[in-house]
Amino acid sequence: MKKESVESRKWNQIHIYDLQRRQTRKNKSQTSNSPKRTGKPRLRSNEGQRYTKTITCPENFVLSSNHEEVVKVIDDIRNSAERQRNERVYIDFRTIRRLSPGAALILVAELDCWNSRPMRGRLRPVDLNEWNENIRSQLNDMGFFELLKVNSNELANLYFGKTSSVYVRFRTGSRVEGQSVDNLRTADLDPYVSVPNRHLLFAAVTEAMTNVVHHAYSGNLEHSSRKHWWLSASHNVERKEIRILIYDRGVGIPESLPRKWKEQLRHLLPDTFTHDDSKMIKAAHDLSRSITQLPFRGHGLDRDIRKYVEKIDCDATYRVVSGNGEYTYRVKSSKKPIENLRNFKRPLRGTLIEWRLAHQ
Amino acid sequence: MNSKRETKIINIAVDFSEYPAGRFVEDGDYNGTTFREQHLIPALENHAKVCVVFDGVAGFGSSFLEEAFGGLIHRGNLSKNFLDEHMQITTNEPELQIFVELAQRFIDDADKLKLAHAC
Repeated sequence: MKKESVESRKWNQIHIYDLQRRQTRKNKSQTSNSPKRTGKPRLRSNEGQRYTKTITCPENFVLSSNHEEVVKVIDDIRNSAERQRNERVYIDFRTIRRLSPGAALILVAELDCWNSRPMRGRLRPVDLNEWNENIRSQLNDMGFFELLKVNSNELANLYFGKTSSVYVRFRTGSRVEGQSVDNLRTADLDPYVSVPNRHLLFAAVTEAMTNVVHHAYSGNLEHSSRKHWWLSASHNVERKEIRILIYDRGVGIPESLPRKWKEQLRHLLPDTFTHDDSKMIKAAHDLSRSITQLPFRGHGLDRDIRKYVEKIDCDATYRVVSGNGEYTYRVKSSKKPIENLRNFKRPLRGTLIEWRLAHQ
Repeated sequence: MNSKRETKIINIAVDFSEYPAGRFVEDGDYNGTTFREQHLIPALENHAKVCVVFDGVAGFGSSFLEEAFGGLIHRGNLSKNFLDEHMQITTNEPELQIFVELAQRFIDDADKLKLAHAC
């Protein structure tokens, strides 16, 4: 049985490779004989021929101001990647005019996972010259085209816009990698905008990675094949601002809270509380308890991850988007922290953490 | 015959890693469990005094510090009195002092928890 499945897998890989070769030949003949295509989508999977699904990105691809539409695109991409049927997928990036580093990182993570599925065929960008030059530049900085294995000659012919906010190449891993955090700071942030208290930033980000390893892929995702985190950042020299971001595709903070603890809350608080993800995210920080229920564990979320913004001399905001909720914690000029809670209709299937630091 | 040498200095950045992070072995190569089991406990067993130096590290997450130092009590079965007498945690870098205090607090918390469970 085992031998059979290995052979079957080999056949599929060869089959996909064959489709790719045939597709390449077809593309070559199209470019030589037919006029330039217009109005076609920007990113294409080369899987099969039977069905075609088009995913159109919104003009405003910023999670904080257009959560529902951005998450819908992310969901569509993930659902297409997970479907086994023989379908061709087009993702239209031409429409994007604004892109936040958080949304870009989530996009990168989804495409990274897509490419890790050998049965799905690799995504490849088309008509790159029609993408907005600033968006192309920001995605390029984040490592988007490298991820999609775009030929460097193809990129050399394109103009990349200059944006005040520069994105940083993403890192990914499945374990806690302190060196990746320090490398992000020394190579990609400090030369442009200095990172306040580097030791505490290291503590915050490695602790967030530890939480991904321990909790993010529990429950229904216990057997998930790609239990990764994705880390990136951005810097804006004019505004003296940096953002550091970490994302996982796990169950989300509200879902990872201990069941026993949630049941206790239901007895104590109005029913709406435990169905309100933003309040659950806040509670997870305030009560410093983790799924393990052990008294000496679960303090990192508050002490290291959230409180980092309190311990530095900056206008600093800590933000978490997880499930249906968003929780922000802003500290400005040593004043009392300001918290903000929001809920959305469409859940983000994962957790995005962002530290935004602006030198005063 | 007591053959314990006087003082063992463990400089984490030199003897273990500049990037210590994570709690358990499966978390990563330079986790708190590995540091405790392969460096701290053998040093405490074979030396009269152990001096742990934090200088040169990139930082510490709570998970690493709690597992490495609090774990000496709740997993290693050592007492706070023993650690006060035989172990010193130190740094010359002012920005790392916060982690020295945190490691000490994890030892204190683990001791309190042990006492509460013993009662």
